[in-house]
Amino acid sequence: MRPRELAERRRFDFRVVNDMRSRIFEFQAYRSTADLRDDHNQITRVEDADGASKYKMTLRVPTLVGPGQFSQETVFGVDLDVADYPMTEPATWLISERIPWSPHFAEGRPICIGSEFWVARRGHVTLGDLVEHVARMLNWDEKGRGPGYRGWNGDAIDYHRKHYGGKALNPSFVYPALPSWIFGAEPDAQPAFEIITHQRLASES
Amino acid sequence: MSKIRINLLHPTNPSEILTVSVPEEATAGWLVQEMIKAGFISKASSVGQYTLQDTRTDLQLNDNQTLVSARVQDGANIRVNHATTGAGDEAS
Repeated sequence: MRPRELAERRRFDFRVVNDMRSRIFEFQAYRSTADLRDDHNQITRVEDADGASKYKMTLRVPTLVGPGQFSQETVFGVDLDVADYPMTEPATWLISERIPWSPHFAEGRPICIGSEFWVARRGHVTLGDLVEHVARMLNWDEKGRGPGYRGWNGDAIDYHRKHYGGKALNPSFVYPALPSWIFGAEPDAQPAFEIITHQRLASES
Repeated sequence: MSKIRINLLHPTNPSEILTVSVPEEATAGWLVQEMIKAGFISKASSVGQYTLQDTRTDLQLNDNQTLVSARVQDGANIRVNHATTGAGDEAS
């Protein structure tokens, strides 16, 4: 991919995830790992996103962090600055201290997103798809990777099979959705349901 | 199509408020769907589990009732009620 095409692709990815922001999903984008670490020079506009390659993402999907123990959110990093992106999957790493108890997540390792999810699609997959995919993995809502699959945590697989029958932790969970414009829908000049603010007032105690 | 601003009060967390601008012709059922899409509330396990109530009048809106027909005013506080029939906490 030429530099100009890569810049366009990065703007596209940013625009996709920017339109997926919700109470469940939020992110910060940066140009460098140092900026991400220091929360410095955030990229906030699509027109500035040609250099957006490092993302700090937060998914508020309740997930197991141990037998019967849940965490309400998971923070992870995504790095698009990998050779031959988007044919190659982006690099990922966990930022949360509480590590999801799952075959796909392990401390100090990338998230195991599966070659069938990204590489096999030969670039026809977006950063927004990755967000939804990780959300589904956190909710244990996936088809599975075969009966012999143990991933990085066979104990978690056994626990999940025993207590959830192999089903999603929350079957009615509503995932972050790709923006409608990606499917060709005309973007509304102004959304009918326009969120002005979402307040969570501190409780008095 | 004129729009009004309303404050949607979370069904289980009274300190959580979603302020939105929506068409006056928006129905209660549509608002519930949009709140689910926005992640403000979880998808209910069956239809009709969420109801909306204007705190000014205490009037509960039917699913197909529009804001204008229910005389919901600009700046209104709309309580999102979650009717449950058993154990469990569907709303997050």
